[in-house]
Amino acid sequence: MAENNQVKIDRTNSWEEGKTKNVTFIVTEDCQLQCKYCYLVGKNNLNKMDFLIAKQAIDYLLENDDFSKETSVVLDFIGGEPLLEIELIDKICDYFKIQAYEKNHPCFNSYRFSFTTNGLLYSSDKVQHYIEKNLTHLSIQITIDGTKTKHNLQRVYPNGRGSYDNVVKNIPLWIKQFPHSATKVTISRDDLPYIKESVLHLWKLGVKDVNINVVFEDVWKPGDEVMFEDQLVSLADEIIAQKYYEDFSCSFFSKMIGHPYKENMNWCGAGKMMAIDFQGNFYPCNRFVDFSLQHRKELMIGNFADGIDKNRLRPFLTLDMVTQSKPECIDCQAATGCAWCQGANYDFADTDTIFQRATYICALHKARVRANNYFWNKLSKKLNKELRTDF
Amino acid sequence: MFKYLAIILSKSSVSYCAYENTPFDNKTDDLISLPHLKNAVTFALKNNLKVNFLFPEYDLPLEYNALIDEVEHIKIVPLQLYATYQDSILVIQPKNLLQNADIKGLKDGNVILRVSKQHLPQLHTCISMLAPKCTRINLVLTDIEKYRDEDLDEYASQLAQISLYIQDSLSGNKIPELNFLTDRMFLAQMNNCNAGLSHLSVAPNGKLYLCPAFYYHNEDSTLGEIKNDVEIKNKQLLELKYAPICRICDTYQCRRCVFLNKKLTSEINTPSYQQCRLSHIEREASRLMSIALKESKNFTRQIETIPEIDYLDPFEIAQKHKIEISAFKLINYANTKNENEIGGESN
Amino acid sequence: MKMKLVGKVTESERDEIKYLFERKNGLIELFKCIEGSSSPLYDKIVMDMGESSSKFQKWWDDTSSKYHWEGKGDSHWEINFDTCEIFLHQ
Repeated sequence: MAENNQVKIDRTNSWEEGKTKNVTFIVTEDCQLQCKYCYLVGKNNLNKMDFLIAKQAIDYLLENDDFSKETSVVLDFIGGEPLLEIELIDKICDYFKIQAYEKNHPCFNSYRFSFTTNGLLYSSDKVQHYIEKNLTHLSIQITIDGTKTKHNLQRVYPNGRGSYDNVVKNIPLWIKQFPHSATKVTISRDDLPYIKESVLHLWKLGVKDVNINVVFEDVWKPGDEVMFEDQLVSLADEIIAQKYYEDFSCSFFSKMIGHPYKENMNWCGAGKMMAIDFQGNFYPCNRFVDFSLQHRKELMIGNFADGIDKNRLRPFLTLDMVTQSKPECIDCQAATGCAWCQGANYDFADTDTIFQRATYICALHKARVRANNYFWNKLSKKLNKELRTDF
Repeated sequence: MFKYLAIILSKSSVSYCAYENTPFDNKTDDLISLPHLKNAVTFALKNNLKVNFLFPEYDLPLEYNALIDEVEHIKIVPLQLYATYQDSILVIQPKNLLQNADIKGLKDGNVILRVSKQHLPQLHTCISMLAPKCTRINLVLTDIEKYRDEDLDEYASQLAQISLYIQDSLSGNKIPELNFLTDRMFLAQMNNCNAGLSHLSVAPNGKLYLCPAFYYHNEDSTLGEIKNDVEIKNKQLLELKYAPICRICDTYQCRRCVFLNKKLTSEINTPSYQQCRLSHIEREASRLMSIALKESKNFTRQIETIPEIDYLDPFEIAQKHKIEISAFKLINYANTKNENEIGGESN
Repeated sequence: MKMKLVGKVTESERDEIKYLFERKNGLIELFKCIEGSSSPLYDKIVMDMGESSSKFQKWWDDTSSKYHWEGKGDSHWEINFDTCEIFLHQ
């Protein structure tokens, strides 16, 4: 009889979760790809961060704690595609390490450099040199979206050609260097038929942890949830039959999904982190920068000259689930695990507010809950042990 | 349900709140057109709305006054028009008082005193000049976004001086109502502006706005033409229930100005730290004054007990303690009694 | 490669080794970004690295003695920072 601790399908692995000061450097708005589902609607090759701006950001971070009192720090590098600016990033990280050490700042003993990358430049000499310099402090997530078919549906070069081959060749090196890494998979409408095979394919490639989400945008049509549910149920059957739950994880399956709300918590950490653009403007997260937004103006919370505008942070820090949710969402019996993005909410809202929760994924979330129930009930029966007693 | 309508008669109409009006240029471009005014008055009559007319400094054409008299209303006028409209609410600025403007004839006045940060140190002087001549003074601080800690301290100091003056100089029941100092003593629930909930405004362009401040800040922020089913998107965010900081607060005299909220925090349901601190400074001054008045034999009116608290900004509480889901669902505020709202019934 | 659970430390002991582990790694990687012995930080970092390594080793020596963990010649101990468990890595 397998013990509960052998079920790893819902494991998460986040360094110092909830106890870090997160600063995101938007080092470039450029990217080699034009992924069809990308929310970065304004990508360009003009706006890149200058080292002086980054240096000011590091100095500000080390001298101020006005947006977070945590001593553990995560410097997050994004774009566009961050590895396009690896030399800048290398310089920024060196500066951070030296300054934190010289100032005897507590974060010198507790920091990470984090990346989400399309993986195309992963094996380049410059990137590898950077990795070698900072190996024990790195968290690098390569986005490989599943099978070649599924990946190439969305993650394409400007000429429409798929990028899978150029990404997958870097996966073995990535896994060797970061054995516990996860990938982030995004599902849009066209991807629905490929969910099951994509998750299995990624596990087969050696990517043991798959974080997979549907897009928050208003793209879903009635009937999509049926295919989505079928895919997840079929995946659940395979996971149980092959005992993949002992070694692999997939974020679709979690014990905490599909219950009524007990706590009034906000889902998203926007406001408790800070994103900095190429001009040195501060944002509650990168999703509020202008090139991420389709319908709204950017929402800044300050800059180097004026510091953080604490008035602009007040809504984020007092934002909770009940104030932004419709009554039917508050009362939903399958509520937990229904995700949202504060920036997407802001972009899609009827007025320019963060207090209106977008619910375009409602039908898909409920489908996921049913598939999740199916999985845990079936697995519990197989292992002869109730696995969801802790919720 | 809407109870009042503010009609801004001209672009240069006196401001009765924190916003600034448009300086007068010429009457043709300044005045609301007669058709627009008729439309607004008709709307008020059809929907049982009382009207607050905001007047410019100059005389109105006769036909305008005739139209104004068709509907139950209150006039809000600059001090210069006091002699013409003696039953109106007067808007006064410190420069009027400190430059010896003629308020000799003012008796039992209902005034709005608009004070900028620059004139904050003269606040108690202004109040001492007005208090003997007024039954009610509504103080409006016009530029709180500029306030820093030292200005908040100055405000606290001014309130302390005013409180002493009121207690020492005026016998009990002749104390005027002061929104910033006495209102809290008689309130058991929120008494906010409620723009968008109990009232809307019609601008000189004939369109509807949440309040005049939105019109003056950005004409495009209109709710649209005057019509029976006015749509306010995300209207729930105007309500106390959907304001995480305000719903736990008992600073009932605070106006909860949604325009200033939007301007300073970018959300209509979230007040700035300046607003919260100023309101709590007023609350504390009210609390101390209420204790003194209770001990005084001169004051016979029933006073609410204001509990002592150890914070000046409820944001600190709201941030740490999220409301329980069950408690949120139970919130169902009755319509607040706007006794002291402009145009409302007063005690 | 086999991993065998051999013991558990307190949260306070875990925090201690975690700090030393992070600091040791931080110093090693800091060393890689200075310009050799010409850097004004060189001597300080070298001394610091020595101190941190000593403290790091001392923690393992002291704690393994305190708890009498099973150990063999060519094996080493690892700690799971989340669970405070100590594993013998053979």
